Amino acid sequence: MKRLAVYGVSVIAVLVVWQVVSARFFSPALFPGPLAVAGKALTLIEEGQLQKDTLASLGRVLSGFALGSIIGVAGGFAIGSSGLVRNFLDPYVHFLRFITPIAWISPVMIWFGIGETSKVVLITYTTPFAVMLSTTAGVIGVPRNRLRAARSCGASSIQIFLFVVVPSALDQVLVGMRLAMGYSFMTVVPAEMLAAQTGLGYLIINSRLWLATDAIFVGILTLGLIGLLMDTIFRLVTSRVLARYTGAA
Amino acid sequence: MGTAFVEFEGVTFRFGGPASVPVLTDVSLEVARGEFFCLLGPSGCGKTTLLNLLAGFETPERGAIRVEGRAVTGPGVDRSVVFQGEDSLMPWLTAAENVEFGLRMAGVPRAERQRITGDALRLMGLGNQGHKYPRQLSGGMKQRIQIARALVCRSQVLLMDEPFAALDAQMRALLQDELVQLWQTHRPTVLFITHDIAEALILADRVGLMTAGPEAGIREIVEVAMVRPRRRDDVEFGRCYEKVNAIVSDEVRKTLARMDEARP
Repeated sequence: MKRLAVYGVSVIAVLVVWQVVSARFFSPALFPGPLAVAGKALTLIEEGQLQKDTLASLGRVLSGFALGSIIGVAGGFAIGSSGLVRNFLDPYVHFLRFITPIAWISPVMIWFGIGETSKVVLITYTTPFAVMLSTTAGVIGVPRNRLRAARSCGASSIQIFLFVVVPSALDQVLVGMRLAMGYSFMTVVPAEMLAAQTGLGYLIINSRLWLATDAIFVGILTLGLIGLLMDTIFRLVTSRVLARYTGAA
Repeated sequence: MGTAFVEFEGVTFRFGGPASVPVLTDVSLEVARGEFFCLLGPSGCGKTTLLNLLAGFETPERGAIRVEGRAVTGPGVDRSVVFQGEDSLMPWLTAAENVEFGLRMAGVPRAERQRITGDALRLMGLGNQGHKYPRQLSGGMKQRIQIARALVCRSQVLLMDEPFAALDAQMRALLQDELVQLWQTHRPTVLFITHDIAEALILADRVGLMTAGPEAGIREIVEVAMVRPRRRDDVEFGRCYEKVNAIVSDEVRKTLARMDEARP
């Protein structure tokens, strides 16, 4: 309760400062205050535009995040479990993870067209690296004595993987997924630069053409809010469903 | 004592390539069935390595290790290990689930698993703690879980690597007593690693004193003929302690001298 009160005070303080700064030092067209942004948001909601854009972006983010997480988790367990796989894949992982998804916009558009696929591919591309690195660290960090104890108890290699390695690394997998979810949200704007007709990225980029800064702020704030909401849901669900693995039980 | 149940025959082991200095050189040792054998020696002399070789976690470069005449080629349920720390427990499993882990891996039906696990937990004084996670238990309780996990596997050999080293003195003494009672009831063959002379003399039938490493071996085996339960204030205990302490101190001095020589 106390934490919520602090959150509330913090949000109100930032909104007040924002309103004062924008009203005193900037033209509303360049830096609209929270009241103007809220007004624009209400207009967009009444038109049904904000809901449509939010759902479109959320669908793309969740699709890319899910696909990227599957690739990241599988890759992380493979890299963490096998020195051969690690040596084979490591150079590519550490090469690709430094290339921004923006650099891939043109090739992805050429290969996958301007439809939904290219947008999801771009978000999928961003997701696996954090998941993979974190999962790998989780697998490598399984205490040696735990593995040895399982072997002494007669567990086979596959049983050790399923019943010792996977649960031991789960905490790290979830940390990687939370980080990756942030990257997925960060990629949705460049992804929606690809000839999109809907989405918060489209709203932000399209509003730029009309210097509709209030709509740009609506898009930015909505992205942040749904990111926060998704992260909270992810944390709540994983801490409930996987309580015994995350230490919450 | 009966005939040899656990045998080390001319075992040499080194970490790394042939150019590295062996940790153990030409170690030969026999432990009888149902014997409580303690290995004692200075830090870093290779006690744990010797236990790991018998557990099948490491492979000797030369020599053979046998249990009941069969060569040890890898880990197996006939040799259960109790480790020093708590990291061998699965933190996402309850105490009972940790104990039954081996039975579950072997496909033992749930009802039978629960019966065996319940018996083992009660035997270790954890009858009403089975539902708790390891983080909810004390250090001593966690070590009891490890022992219970080893017991349910019905291993012939119990390998214990300084299992009580991280516990406070009172808890250590309590668990030592419990272990002796357990051993007297079930009579597993125990190889117990310790650097605590008193602990070795409280527990063991015989104590193997190791030389300072590297290239360590067994320097001497001391028979502990005192009846159990043993008391630290017993005259015979004191005499035995002095004898063992003189040898161990000599080996510690050698270790320190080697460290001095190695210093640039």
